Amino acid sequence: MSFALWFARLGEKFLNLAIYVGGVSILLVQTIRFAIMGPLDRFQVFDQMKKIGVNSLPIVTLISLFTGVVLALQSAYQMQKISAQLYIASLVSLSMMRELGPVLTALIVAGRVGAAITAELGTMKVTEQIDALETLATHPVRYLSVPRFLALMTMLPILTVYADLIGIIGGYMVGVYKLGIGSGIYIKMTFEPLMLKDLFTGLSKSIVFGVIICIVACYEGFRTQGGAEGVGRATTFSVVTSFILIIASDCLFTALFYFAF
Amino acid sequence: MIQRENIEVKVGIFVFIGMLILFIIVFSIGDFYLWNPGYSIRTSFRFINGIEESAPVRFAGVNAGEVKDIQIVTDPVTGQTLVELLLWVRQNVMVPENSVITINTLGLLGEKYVEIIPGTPDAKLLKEGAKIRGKDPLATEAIAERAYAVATKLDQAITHVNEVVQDPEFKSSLKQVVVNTADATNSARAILSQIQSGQGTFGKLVYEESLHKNLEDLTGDLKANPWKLLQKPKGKKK
Amino acid sequence: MIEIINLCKSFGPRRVFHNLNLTIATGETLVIIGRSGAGKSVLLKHIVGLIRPDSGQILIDGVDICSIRSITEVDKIRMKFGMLFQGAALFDSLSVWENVGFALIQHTSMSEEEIRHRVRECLTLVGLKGIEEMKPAELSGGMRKRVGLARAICMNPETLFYDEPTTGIDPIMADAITDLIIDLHDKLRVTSIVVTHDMISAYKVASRIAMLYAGKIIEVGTPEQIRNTQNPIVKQFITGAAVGPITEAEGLAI
Repeated sequence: MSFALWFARLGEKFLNLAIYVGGVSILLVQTIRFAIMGPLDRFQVFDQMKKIGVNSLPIVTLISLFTGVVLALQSAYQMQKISAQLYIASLVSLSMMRELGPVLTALIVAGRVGAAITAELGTMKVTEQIDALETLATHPVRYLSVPRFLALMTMLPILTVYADLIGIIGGYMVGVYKLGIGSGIYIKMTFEPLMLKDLFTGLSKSIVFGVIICIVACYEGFRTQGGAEGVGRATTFSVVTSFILIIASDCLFTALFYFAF
Repeated sequence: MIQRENIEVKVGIFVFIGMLILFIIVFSIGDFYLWNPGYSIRTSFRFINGIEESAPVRFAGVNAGEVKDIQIVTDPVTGQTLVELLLWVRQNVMVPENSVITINTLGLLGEKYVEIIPGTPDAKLLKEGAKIRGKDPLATEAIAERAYAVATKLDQAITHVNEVVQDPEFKSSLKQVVVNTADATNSARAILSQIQSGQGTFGKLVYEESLHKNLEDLTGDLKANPWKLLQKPKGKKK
Repeated sequence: MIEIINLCKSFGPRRVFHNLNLTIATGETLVIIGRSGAGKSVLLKHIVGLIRPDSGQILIDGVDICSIRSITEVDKIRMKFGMLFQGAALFDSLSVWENVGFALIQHTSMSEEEIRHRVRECLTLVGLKGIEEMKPAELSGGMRKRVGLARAICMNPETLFYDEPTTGIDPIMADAITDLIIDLHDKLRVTSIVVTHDMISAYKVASRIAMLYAGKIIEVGTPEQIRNTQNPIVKQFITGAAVGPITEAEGLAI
């Protein structure tokens, strides 16, 4: 009896997962189709770009600066033992560009912007504003999802570039002012081990992260039910899901780039 | 409407600075050759020993560029199959016409690279698109083949030595030699002991006091009267 | 003319409609009454194509809105509709004039000046003035409903849907809204479909009243016929008695 119950629950869980994956995929396809088809509301896109990109810059700056500082200090601890402090520069720049820049920025934006998107769309859903959009012959995906999609896809890589640079500056501050490495040699060691591939794999990752954040947040918003409590639940779920998907896809991408190139 | 423009300006500045940073990073990264000024030269080999595109090019041991393209061509004159490499080198690297281009390996299992050994400074410099014949590297197979030949010869020699050593006749004669040598040393010892005791000609020569005295007298006399050596024959002739 | 034929819809195990039939004639004002949660709003959403039925047809001037797959075709039909939502459902990121002129901004190439002119006209029709630049959050409940109504009539619709127009506002404002519904019906010559459980408002605006109960329309008639109904269920509802066949059927769940 308990086995049958357990099995039924498993089946239900699997069904819910299938519904989730299916819903997210359909939303993604619809969003891309509307984005290509147009027409685009330029103001909406710019407004979202400002909310997502420009307004996220202070926190991204703060966190990537501290990450750069911590990275340099922590590696100094070990590197000094084998008197290889010079390589701190390379270590900071490589790990910022390849991994920490894109992933940290994506996590910050998922927490800051993804939550806001879900909360906004969820509130619109429970107050029937989404239905109102439809009765005004405007598709919610076109009006709400497409501007956020385009803004996230373009702004996240640009934020990542900022994060890369600021992280490197953080490492530079530690390396030059605390550990006494020469400024010129530090800059040289920062860029010497880097290849364009490192930069562009990082940026292509962040485009994918942008897509994940947008689609997960919009999907959770669109399917919100049950008033203020429902909005809260949807927001939490949206942030948790994008965190998991960002880390999982990062793992996948790193493996892919490692084996394929 | 003012608000809209304000937003666009903010986004514009944000994107512009982001792009600027991207460009600075891209240009700072070392492996970005394409937009640096430089020129390319063509060089042909009969054999390139597995060099690949974007392999480094070194000029006098300094990194100076990379291999841009590899093509298999047929020499129109001789009909020989050649491999043509397109080498990109930085503008400030001046390659004289009589430089030697070879393909080299970094370390024992390392990467292949193109080495340009600079020629004499009085030679003309290579220009964009110039063609130069490269010095073929030794194929790994050729080296192996030669090593095999050497090994074969060595093997043959060892076989011959073995044949001789293992021959029973050789063995017995070798034994005879040893026996003979032993006899010889025995008789030599006997002779030496006789010499020591002053017997025989050698014994007397070494141990007789009188002989030594005579010789001393003679040399003393000769020192005192050196003319004696010259006078005598003159006297005879007269 | 709108015809609903054998409409069935379930949400999970809960059956909302079971072979529901209803015909709405052009130009009339039909009031749909029923208990909270009986599915009145759901019925409205079916007609405007927000929810797809499990089976059955909804013919709008002979076209079945449920079987249209193309979004643009559905949107074409929706342009003929205007809907006032229960909570007005104004877009709170936009100002009042952007809300009222939303469809014009989205679907026409009219200049801002022309749109603002049209918005002023609509706001005058619902009795508002000088609030174009305000945000919905700054408005009172009654004003929001009026702005929502102005948005609904902005595209000159043929049919207006009112989802509980008098719920959540004070009785004086409720009566004003009721008068507005009659007023707009006469001025704009529209078909009106009103969902409510406010019987005062229902008697006042209706040309016909339909009672929705247990997934079906159990009675349709003029306000006079409904007032004098012999159906015990309808009778309990219109008199608002706590004891009767409806509460009995639901057991103790009062």
